[in-house]
Amino acid sequence: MEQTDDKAGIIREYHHQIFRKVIVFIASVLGIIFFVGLFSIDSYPGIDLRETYEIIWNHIIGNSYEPRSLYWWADRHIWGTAMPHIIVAILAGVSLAVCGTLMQSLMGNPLADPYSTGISSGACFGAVSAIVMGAVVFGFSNQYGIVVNAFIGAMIPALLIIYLSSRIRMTPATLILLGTAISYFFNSLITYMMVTTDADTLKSAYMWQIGSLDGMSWESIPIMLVVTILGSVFVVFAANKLNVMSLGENSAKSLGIDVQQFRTICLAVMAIMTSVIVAFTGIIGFVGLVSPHIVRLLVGSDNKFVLPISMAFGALLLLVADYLAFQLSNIPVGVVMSVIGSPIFLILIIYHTKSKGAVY
Amino acid sequence: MKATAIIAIAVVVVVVGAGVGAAIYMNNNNKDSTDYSNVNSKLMVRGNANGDFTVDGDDLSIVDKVIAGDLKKEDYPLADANNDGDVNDADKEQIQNMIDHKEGMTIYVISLNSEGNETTVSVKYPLRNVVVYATNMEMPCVYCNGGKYIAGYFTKSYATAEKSFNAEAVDLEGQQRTINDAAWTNFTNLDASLVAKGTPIGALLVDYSGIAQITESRMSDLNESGIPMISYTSADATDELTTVLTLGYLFGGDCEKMGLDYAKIGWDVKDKIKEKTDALEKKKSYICGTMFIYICGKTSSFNTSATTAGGVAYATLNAGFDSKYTKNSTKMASTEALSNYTDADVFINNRSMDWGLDADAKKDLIIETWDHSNSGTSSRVYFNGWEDKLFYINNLLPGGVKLAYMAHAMYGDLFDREWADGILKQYIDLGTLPLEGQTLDSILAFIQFSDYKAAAGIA
Repeated sequence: MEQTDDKAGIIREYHHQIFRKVIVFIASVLGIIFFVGLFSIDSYPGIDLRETYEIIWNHIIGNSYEPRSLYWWADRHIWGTAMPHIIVAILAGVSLAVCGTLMQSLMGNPLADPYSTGISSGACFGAVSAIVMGAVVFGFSNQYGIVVNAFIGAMIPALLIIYLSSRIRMTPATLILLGTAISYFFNSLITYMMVTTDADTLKSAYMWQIGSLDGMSWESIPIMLVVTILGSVFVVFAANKLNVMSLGENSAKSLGIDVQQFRTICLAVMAIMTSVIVAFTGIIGFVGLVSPHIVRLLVGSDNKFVLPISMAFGALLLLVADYLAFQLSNIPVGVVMSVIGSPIFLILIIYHTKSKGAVY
Repeated sequence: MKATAIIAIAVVVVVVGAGVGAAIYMNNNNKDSTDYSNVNSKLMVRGNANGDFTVDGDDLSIVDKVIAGDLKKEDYPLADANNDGDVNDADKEQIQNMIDHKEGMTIYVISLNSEGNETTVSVKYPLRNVVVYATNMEMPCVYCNGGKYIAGYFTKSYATAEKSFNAEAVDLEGQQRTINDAAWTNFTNLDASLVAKGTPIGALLVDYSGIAQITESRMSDLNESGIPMISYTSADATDELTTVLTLGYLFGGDCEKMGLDYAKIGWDVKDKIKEKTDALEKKKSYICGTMFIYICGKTSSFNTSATTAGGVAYATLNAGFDSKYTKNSTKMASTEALSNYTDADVFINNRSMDWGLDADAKKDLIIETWDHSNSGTSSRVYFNGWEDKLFYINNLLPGGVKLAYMAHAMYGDLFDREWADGILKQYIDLGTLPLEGQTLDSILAFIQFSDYKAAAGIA
C-alpha cells in the first residue's frame, strides 16, 4: 500500500514537473504573441490590440483591405516595418539562448555564453574595421559591408579554436582561456582603431558594438532564419548528449561519447549561429547568458526541456528588452538588455547560492 | 582527427557559401546613384514637346510634325504626352487638354526617382493635397504660392518664410534631415484620413538631397498606394527655377502665372551672368560650404549653383581637395582644414536664415553667423585668414537671388551689390508669398566681412 502511494506520488510529481515545463513554455509563447501585438500597436498608432491581431491574422490568411484605408496602411506598416523587426528579435533571442545553453552545457560552466570563444570581439573587429577604415571584404558598401565584415571577423576566432581543438587537448577551461586571449587581442586592435578616428565615426563604431535591431528589413531575415532553424534542430537533437556532457568529460567518455568530436561539432554550429546573428544585430549581451539560467531555475536542468523553453524565453526576453528600448526613445536594445540583464543575473546568483534551486 | 578536418572543411564551405550568397544577393541591391538628369526642359511635364516654359500650340504643332514624319520622335521625348511610348493623336488630345487646363486629367511629370534617374510619374490636375519634405522643396512650393495646397509637412523651420503654408496642414513630426518611422506612420495616417474624405494626397514632394529618407520600403508604400513622388535637385539654383515653374503649372491658376514670372527673373539672371562671365579669360575658383564648417563636394547642389554663377569649383583644380571632400558635405576635421587651400578665390557659405528682421535682429544674426560656435569653437577660427574671401548667402532665397549674390561674391566688379539687391527687390515686388511684406532691410541675404565688422563694431 505504502509502495503504491510512493509510486503514485512519484507519478504525480512527474506530471507536476511536466505541467510546469509546459506552462513555462506556453507562457513564453503567449508572452511573445502579446509583445508582437504591443509592438504592432506602437508602430502604427490609431488601431487597438484586437485590431492589430485581426490585421496580422488577415494578412496570414491572405485577406486584404481597401487600398489606402487605415487598415490597409496599418497592414503594410506592420508587415513592412514592425514584423521584420519582431522576427529578427525572435530569431536573435532564439539563437543566442540556444547557443548560451549549448556553451554552458558543453563547458560545464555557468559563466559561459555564446561570446565566450571571442566571437563577439572578432565580429566587432570586422565591423569596426569596416566603419573606421572602410576595409570591407568582397568590396561591399555601407551596411552590407559591415554585416559581411562582422561575419568574417566572428568566424576567425571560431575557426581558430576549431583548428586548435584538433591540435591540443582542449578542456573547457582551455577553451574559455583561449576565448579570453582572443578577445584581448581583438579588443586591442579595436581600441587602436577607435582612438585614432574622428568623433562621428567613433560614435558609429560604438553604436554598432552596443547592438541594435533598428532598420531590420525582410532582406535580413532569410539567412538568420535558415541558420537559426538548422542550428536549433541540431542542438535539440543533441540534447541527450549535452546532458551527458554536463556530467563532466570523464563521465561522457565513459558513456561512449567522442567528447573531442562532439565538442568540435557543437562549437562549429554555435559559431555559425552566433556569427550570423551578431553580424546583423551587433553584440546583444546577456540573452545567451541569462535565459538558460532562468529556465533551469524554473524547469530543472534536463536539456531536452531547457533547450526549447530557453529558445522561447530568449525570444521573449529580447522582445521585452526591445519593446522597452522602443519606448525609451528608441535607444539601442543592447543597452536595455544590459540594464535588465545585470540585475536578473545578480538575483540569479544570489538565489542560486542560497540553494533554492538545484540549477546544476 | 579526420572528423575534425571534415568539420573544418564543412565550416569553411558554409562560410564561403554564405559569403558568396550574400555577395550575389546584396550586390543586387546596390544602386547606382550617379545618373542624373537628361531631359533638357524648363517645364518638366510630358506634352511640353519643345522643352520651353509652357504647354501651348507650339507643342501641338511639333506633335503634328512628328506624326507626319517631318520631325524625329527621338529628338522630342516630351512629345509623348501620355507616356505610352508612341507619338500619335492621343498625345494631341492630351496636349489640347493641357492647354485647356482640363480639371481631373492626368498629367505625366518628369521627376527623379530614388536612384537619381529621370522617370515619369502621373498626377491628377490640378495638383492638390501635397506633402512636402525638406526646406529646399518647401520653398519652391510656397514661392509659386502653392502653400495653400500643402496638406502635410515633415518639418517646418522658418516661421516667416513659410508662413503661407496651409493653416490646416498637418505637422507629420519629422526632423530637418530625418523622416523617422513615426513620421512616416503619420504620413500614411494622413493619407488614410484624406482618402476617407475623398481628397487623397496628390503627391509627395521631395528635395532629392533628402531622398535617402524615402527608403526602399517607403518607396514601396508609395508605389503600392499610387501616391506619386515628385523629386528634383531643388537645392540647385537652376533646378529650383524649374521646380517652381513645374509645381506652379501643376497647381494651376495663379500659381502657374507666379511660377512662370518667378522663373523668368531667374533665367534672366542666369543669362546675364553667362554673358558676362563667358568672356572672362580666367574664372574665379570657389569652395562652397554649409552648416558653418561643412565643406561641399563638387557634385553638391551648392557647388552646381556656384558654377552657374560663373565660378569654377576648386575641387576641379585641386585633386587632393577633391579626393578629401567627396561627399555632399564633410565637416572640417580641424580649424586648420582650409590651410592647404588658400589659393581658392572665395568661400561661399550657405545658410538658411528666416526674415522679417528688424535692425537689431539683423545685426545679431550677422554676428551669430560669422561668429557661430561650433561645439565651442568659433567659425572665425576655422576661417582665420579667409575673412576677405568668405561670404554667407541666405539659402532660403529664390534661386535667381542666390545666383546674383554668388556672382557678386566672385566678381564684385562685374556684378555689384546694388544689382544683386535689385534682383531680390524684383522678387519681393513679384508678390510671391514668402517675401510678402518684406524689404531689403528685413532680409539678411548676404554677409561679408565688412558687414560683420560693422555689426560687431570692429574698426
